[in-house]
Amino acid sequence: MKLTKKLAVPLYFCALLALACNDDKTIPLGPDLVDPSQRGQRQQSSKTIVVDSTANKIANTFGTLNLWLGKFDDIESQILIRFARLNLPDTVTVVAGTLKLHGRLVKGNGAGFEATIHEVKNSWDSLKVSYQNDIFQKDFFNATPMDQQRAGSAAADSVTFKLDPAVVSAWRTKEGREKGVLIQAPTATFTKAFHSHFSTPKQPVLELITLKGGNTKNDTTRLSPTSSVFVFHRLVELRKGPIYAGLGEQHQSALSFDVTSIPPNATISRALLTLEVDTLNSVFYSSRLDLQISQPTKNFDLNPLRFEPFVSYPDSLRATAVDSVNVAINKVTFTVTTPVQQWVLDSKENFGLVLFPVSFTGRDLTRVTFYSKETNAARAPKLQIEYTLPPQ
Amino acid sequence: MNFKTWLRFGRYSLICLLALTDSSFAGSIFSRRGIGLLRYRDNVRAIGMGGAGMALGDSLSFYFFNPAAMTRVNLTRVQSDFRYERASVDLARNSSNGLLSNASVNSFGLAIPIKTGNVLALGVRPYSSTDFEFRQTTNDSAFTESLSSVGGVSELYLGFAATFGAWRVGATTDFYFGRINRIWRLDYVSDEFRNSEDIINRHFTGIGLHLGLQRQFGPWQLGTAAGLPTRLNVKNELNTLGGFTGVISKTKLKLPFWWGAGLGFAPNRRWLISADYRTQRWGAVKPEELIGDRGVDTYDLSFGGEFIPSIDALAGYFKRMSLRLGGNYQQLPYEEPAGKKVQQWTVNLGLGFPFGRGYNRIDFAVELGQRGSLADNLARENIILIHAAIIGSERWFQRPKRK
Repeated sequence: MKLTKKLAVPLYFCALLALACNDDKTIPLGPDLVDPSQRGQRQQSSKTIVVDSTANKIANTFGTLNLWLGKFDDIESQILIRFARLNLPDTVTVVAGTLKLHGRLVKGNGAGFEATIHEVKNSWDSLKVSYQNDIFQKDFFNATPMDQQRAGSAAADSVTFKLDPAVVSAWRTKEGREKGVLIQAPTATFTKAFHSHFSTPKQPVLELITLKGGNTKNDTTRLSPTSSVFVFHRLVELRKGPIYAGLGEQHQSALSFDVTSIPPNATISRALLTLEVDTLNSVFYSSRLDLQISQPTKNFDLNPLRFEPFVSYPDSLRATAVDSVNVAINKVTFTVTTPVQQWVLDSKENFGLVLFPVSFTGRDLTRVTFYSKETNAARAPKLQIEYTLPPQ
Repeated sequence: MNFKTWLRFGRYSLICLLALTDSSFAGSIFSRRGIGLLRYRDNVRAIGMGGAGMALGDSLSFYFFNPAAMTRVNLTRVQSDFRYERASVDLARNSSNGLLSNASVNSFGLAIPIKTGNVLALGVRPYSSTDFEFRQTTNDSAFTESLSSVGGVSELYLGFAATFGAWRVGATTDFYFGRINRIWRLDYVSDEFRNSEDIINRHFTGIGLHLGLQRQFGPWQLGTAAGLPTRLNVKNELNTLGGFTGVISKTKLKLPFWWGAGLGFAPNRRWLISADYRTQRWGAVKPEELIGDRGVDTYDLSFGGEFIPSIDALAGYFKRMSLRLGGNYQQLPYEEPAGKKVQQWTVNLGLGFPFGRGYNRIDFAVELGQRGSLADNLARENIILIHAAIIGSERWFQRPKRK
């Protein structure tokens, strides 16, 4: 036998490869094998809120299915409706007109309320109209009502207003069609929702009786609105202190926590933000309110405390967590592991978190109240952090 | 060098690259302290004889710990060795057990005779290595915790050996480098939690020096070597899954003074017996200079022999093979809890397969033994180490003698 160079090298490496296959069996970790300092540590920390504050802004309500009319939760609601330009020749005269609203929901209690319908004298933008900027302004509408009707307390009750033919005739022009009507209920003790123009087939209906010149027989024309919104204003300011979240008033709340006691080399395993609902002071118009917690990238302005995430600072908020609250839930919990890790690392400055509502089905006047450190320190928002520290 | 020689050199370079890029591992729970298990063994031929090689010279392979041994190298030699290690671990706690094994290219060396008796050498070899993983799952199975470590300190050496009459001397500069990664990890079962992984990377750099001396008195060969104390710079970095990255500290690691002596007896060219003693003062190193662990003065006793049935180049192949037998007993460098010290013993077997007209050789060595004990230590490891080295030759810088 002779071991040649050509044979020896491949044989050598084949032997190595065969040996390189291994089948390790794990060794159980125990304190006898490893000093405690060589293992990391699991820690828990509960942080109470440092800054909580809330601010609101009346929201435009275009796009909702409900047109709320009346008073509830110290909020008075009114309805604005307008129609397309009337395509009637000058030879056609409007003899009479009615506006029918179909009832949908009721919030609050009462035997019914008187509602008045007014001619609107100014044009309005359905996407921007608000009580402060429009309704409250002088000469926005004619204070003398065209008609007054009683709105029933049953949810499905409808109401039909008579319209002034002269007012309706003015809607033939381009200027006239942008005005429409305003419906008020200043003496209401509850609030009632009517179907909006989005809520087919029960949307508001304008019925006109017309007469063509030379004819003796009336014609009937039915029209649906091109815009319908409800505008509202708060009659009594909300109590300061609680943390609010609501769609109609666009409540925003700022929540800040001091996490400087957690070392920067910590790894956040989980961070949970829990807010407790003050059910007695919450108002639910709809079955649920979806909430979002976001992390601002800029310091918030405390006076007034508002973010303008979708207007002024389009990139100032990053969505982090979404949860919802309803009448049966008294706590909401958000997982905020990522922002807390960033604060601890100092890779993102700790400007706190912003709680605000998000709408998937249109705006309503739902308002959820959370305990704050001012209203109940024991039930104030808490940030529970579980983290690990590296071995020494 | 001609083209053919360059091709061969490229082949050896590839082996060298493998050696440099492959981490060296220990596969032992006793590698969890300090910088891991120290690699006191070198030269697969010597390992076959229990590790004894301090006094010996070999025309084919060279022995790192005593650079004077390189003077016997008469052709340019390239050697690379591979190690497989398997430790069957019995833990005193709960009679539990485990198995650690790994395999890696261990070292690479190149020795170039400048002229007869004067040799330049360079190479890379492991100084220490660590490799273990411990794992446990909590009682509620909420998460699994694991601690593992891998890596080691390596030496890039550049040495020179010369002959002065009957004396052979050598000196080697050792450039220490390496990295040990210690990984602590929590793996949660629930998606609600983020896993943790903290990696402490220790980077080592430093320069050392060791010297050797050999002399032959008839059939007797004597050798001694010593390494000067060295301080390595240690940069400790932390990387966490949470995103933290940075140097957390810069410390020093002390490699203490070591010395060793060996004795060899070769009554003829077929028989050789040898014994070595080597010690290093790890007990004098403060814990802060040993990554927080307490050192223990180490000693290493090696003894063994080699038998070649025939030195006749025309004899049958099996008669030209080298047969080796030896044993080793050593004290490991770290103190276990309660002041316990850990010893290791092995019985060694070795074989040498010459090839290519006797200018090349493949050496195999197997070590069977035990590390630690259940009575004195928290664990006992039944160990098997298999070493394999391939040694090739080239004639560089030497003119063939003209007739």
